[in-house]
Amino acid sequence: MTSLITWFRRNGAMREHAGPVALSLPAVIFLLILFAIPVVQLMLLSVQSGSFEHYEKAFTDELYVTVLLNTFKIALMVTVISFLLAYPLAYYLTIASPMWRAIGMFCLLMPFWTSILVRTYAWMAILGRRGIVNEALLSLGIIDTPVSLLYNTSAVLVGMVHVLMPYMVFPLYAVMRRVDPNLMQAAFGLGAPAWRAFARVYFPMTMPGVLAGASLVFILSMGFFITPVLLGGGRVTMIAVLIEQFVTEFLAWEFAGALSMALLAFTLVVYGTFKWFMKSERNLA
Amino acid sequence: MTNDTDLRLEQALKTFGNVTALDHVDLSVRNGELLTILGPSGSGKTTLLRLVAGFAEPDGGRILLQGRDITWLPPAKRDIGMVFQNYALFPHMTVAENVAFPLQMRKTAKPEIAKRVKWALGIVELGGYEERLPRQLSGGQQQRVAFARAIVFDPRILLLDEPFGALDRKLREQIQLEVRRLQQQLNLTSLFVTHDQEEALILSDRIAVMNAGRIEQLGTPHEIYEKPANRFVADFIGISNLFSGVVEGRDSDIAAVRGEDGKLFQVAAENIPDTGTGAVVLVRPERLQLLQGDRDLENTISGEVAEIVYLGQSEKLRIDIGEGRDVLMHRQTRLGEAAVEVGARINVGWTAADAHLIVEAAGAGV
Amino acid sequence: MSGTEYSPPGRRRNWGRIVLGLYCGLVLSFLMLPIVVVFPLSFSSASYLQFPPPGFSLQWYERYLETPSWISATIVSLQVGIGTTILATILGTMVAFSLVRGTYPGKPWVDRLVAAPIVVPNIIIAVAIYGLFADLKLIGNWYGVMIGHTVYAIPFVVLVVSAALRNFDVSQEHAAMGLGASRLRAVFTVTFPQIKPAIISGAFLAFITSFDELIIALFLSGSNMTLPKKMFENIISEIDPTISAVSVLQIVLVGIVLFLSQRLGAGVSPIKS
Repeated sequence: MTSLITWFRRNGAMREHAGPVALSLPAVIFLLILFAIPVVQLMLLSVQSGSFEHYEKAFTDELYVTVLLNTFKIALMVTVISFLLAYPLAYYLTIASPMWRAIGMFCLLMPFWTSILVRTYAWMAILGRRGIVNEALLSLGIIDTPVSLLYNTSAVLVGMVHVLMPYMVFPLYAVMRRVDPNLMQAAFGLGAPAWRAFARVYFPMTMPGVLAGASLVFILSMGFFITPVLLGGGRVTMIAVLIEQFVTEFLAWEFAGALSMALLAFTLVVYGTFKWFMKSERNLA
Repeated sequence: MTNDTDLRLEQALKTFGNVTALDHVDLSVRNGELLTILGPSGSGKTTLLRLVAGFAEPDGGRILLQGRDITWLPPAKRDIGMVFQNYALFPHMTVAENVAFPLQMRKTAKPEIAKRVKWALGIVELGGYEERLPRQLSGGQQQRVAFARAIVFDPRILLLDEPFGALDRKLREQIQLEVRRLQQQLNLTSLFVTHDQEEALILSDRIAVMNAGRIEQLGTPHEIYEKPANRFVADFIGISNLFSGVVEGRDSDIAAVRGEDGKLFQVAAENIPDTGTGAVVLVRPERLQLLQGDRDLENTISGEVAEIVYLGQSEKLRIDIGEGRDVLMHRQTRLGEAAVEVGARINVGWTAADAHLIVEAAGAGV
Repeated sequence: MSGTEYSPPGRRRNWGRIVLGLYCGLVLSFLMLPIVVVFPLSFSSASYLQFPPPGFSLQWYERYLETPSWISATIVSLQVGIGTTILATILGTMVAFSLVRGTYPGKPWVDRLVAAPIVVPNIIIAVAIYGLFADLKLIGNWYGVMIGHTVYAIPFVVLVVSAALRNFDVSQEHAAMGLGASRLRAVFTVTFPQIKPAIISGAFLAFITSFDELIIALFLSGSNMTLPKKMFENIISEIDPTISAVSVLQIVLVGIVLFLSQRLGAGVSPIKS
C-alpha cells in the first residue's frame, strides 16, 4: 500500500516536469513544423541527387565563388566600419551629460526603429542622380554633370552600415557602462599615459562588447538582402540575393538549398566561435 | 504522539541525485515553542523548511501537523504562515492587500477580512500604513508587513526563513526581540531557520544544529553552547579550544584525559566513558584565566602571547603553546591590572568545572 | 581640485573631448540623415525625387489614400502584424515560462530551437517556409505571412518575457502558495500583474518586427502584398514620392507603437543583451 502511494508520488516528480513541458509544446511544435523541418528539408534538397554537385558548383564556379567572396568581403567591411563609428560613439554616450546622452540615444534609436526599406529608399533619394548630394555638388559648382553614386559597393556599404551600426553600439554601450571608472584612474595613477591606459586597461575590458557587436553585425551582414538589391542595383550581388534569384527566377531549389546551407554554415561558425570566445572569457574571469 | 507536539517530522528523507539533503530526520516541535534549525549552508536546513512548507516533496518519511499527515498536501492547504528571507511582499499590492491576500484565498467574508487586517497591522504597529506600497516602506516595516501577512489567518505554525538577513545590525536586534515578543504573546509555534548562531541563541526555546542532512544536537541554547554533543557543534557554535585525547581515569565526577602531547586534563562530566575511550576537551576562551604568582588551577598551560585584539571592555589573546598550536583567550580588561603584551610568556588555566568533555564516537580516531 | 575625475594635463584632454564630440556629432548626423530627408520629400510639390523640394503639397498623401493597392497593402500588413502579435505573444510567453521555470530533459534543445530564428538568416527562413507553403498552396494568404512572421517574432517575445521572469522573485509565488493560493492562482494574481509590462513590450516588439519585415513577405504574400512588399516593388519599378509619404506614415506609426510600449509596457530597449 505504502509502496503504491510512493510510486504515485514518485510520478509526482514527473508531474513537476509535465507543466513546463506542456507549456513549451505549442511553440516547439509550431517551430518544428514551420521552421526546423522546412530548413532541414531545404538542406536535404541540396543533396537529393545523391551527390554534392551543387556544393561543388557553388564553391568552384567562378561566378558563384565571386559572389561568396564578395559577401564575405562586404560583411567584413561593414563590420570594421561599424566598429570604427560605433566604438567612439558608445564611449561618448557613457561620458556625455544626461542631455547629450538623451539626444544621442534618440538619434540612435529613431533610425533603428525605422523600417529598413524606408531608410534604404531615403539613401536612394540622397545618393541618386538628382539626389541631395548631386544637387549640392552641382549648385556649388564642384561638378558639371551628376556623378553616379548609386548602384555600387560604396552605396551598399553606406546603406548597410547605417542599418547595422546600432547593433554594434548597443552591446558596446552595455559593456562600457559597467567599466569601473576608477580602473582608468588607477591606471593613470600608476603612471600610464592615456593611450596606454586605453590600450591595456579600457579596451580589453570592453572586448566582450566588441566581440558581441562584431559577430552580430557580421552575421546579419552575410544574410543581407534589401540593401544590396536596392542600393547595389543588380551590380552588387550578395549570397542572399543569389538565393532569392535561384528560387524565384530559375526555380533551382537544389542549388538554392546548397547556397542556403553555405550561408547557414558560415553563420553558425561565426556564432559558434563567438559563443566559444565568450565562454572561455568567462572561464578566465 | 503527545498532544503538545504541533509539528513532527518522521524519518524525513530527501535526496537530490546522489546528494542526501535530509537523512532520515526526526524532529518534534512543541506547542508554542520557537525551535531554530541552525546550520551552515548546505546542511539541509532549507530543504527541511521547504518540505514542511510543501515546496518540495520528501523521498521518504512523513510530516505531521497537529496530528494530521500533511506530507503530500499542496502548500496552499497546509495553513502554515511563512516569513521569507526577502519578505516576498507583492510589490504591486498595497500593505492592506498584501495582508488580506491569505484571507481572500480562504474566501473569508469581506467585513471579517477588514477586521483581521486591522488587527494584524495593529499588532505589528503599522496601523495607518494600509495604502502604502511595499517599496514605500523601510526594511524594518516591510519585515513587519511580512509578519502580519503570515499570522493574519491564524496559521497552525509559523515558518521563518532567515527573515532578518536583509536588515542592518541594529535594526535586526530590535526586530528580532519584537518578533520573539509577538511569537510568545500569540503563543505561535514557530520553526525558524538561520545560519546565524548568535540570532539562534538569543531567540530560541530550543535549537536543532544541522550538518550534512542530520540533526547533530537538539537542545536549549544553554545546552548547545555549554554542552555541545560533538566536535561539529562545538566548532560551529562559538569559539572553542579543543584538545583531543584519551580518557585515562576518573575520580568521582572528574575525568582525567591524556592529551595528544601527553598533558593531563581534568574535566567535570556526568557520564564518564571507559578508560581508553577517545575524547575531546572543550574549554571556551572566556573560561580561561590568567595565572599570576603562585595561583594554580586544575588545568594549566603556558605559552607566548602571539596576538592581542583589544575590544574596549574585553580583549582577545592568541597564545602560542608550541608545536604550531594556539589557545584563544577572551578576558575582561580591568584598570590597574598589569597589561599583557605580545611576546610575553604567560600561564593560563581553567577549572575542571569550566571544561566540557566530548566523547568521540567509537572508532572515530584522532 | 576635482576629486572625482583625474585630469591629465589640461589642454590635451579638452581637445580630445572636443574631437570626440565632433566625431560623434558626425556619426549621429549620418544616422539621422535618411530620416530627416524623408519628411520634406513627402511634402514636395515636385512629381519626382527632387531636393530641395520646389514647394509644399499634400499630393503624395492624397495619392496614398486614393490608391487602392496602397490601402489594401496597409490593411494586409496590419492584419498580419496583429495576428503575428497575438500568436507570437501567446506561444512566446508560454515557452518563456517553461524555459525559465522548468527543469526537464531536452530543455537546452528547446532553448536552441526557440532562439534559432534570430540566428538563422531571414532569407533561409523565407525560402524554407516558401517551399513548404508552395506545396500546401498557402502562398498569397495573409495568414501564411503571419505564420512566417510568427516564426521570426517568437524569439523576441521569449527574450523580453524570460528576462522579466528571471528577474522576478519566485519566492513571491511560493509565498502566495504558502498563503493559500493554488499554483495557477498564484501565477495569475502575483506573477502576471508584475511581468505584464514585459509581455506588452514583447507584443509590441512582435508587431514592429512583423510590420517592417520584407523578405518573408516577399516570398509568401504573393499578390496579397504587405506594405513593405508594395514599397519594395514600387521602389524597384518607379520610385515616385508616394513612398516618402508612406515612409513618414510608417515612421509615425512605429513611433506611436514605441511610445505606447513605453507607457504601457516596460519599453523595448535594445540595450540589455
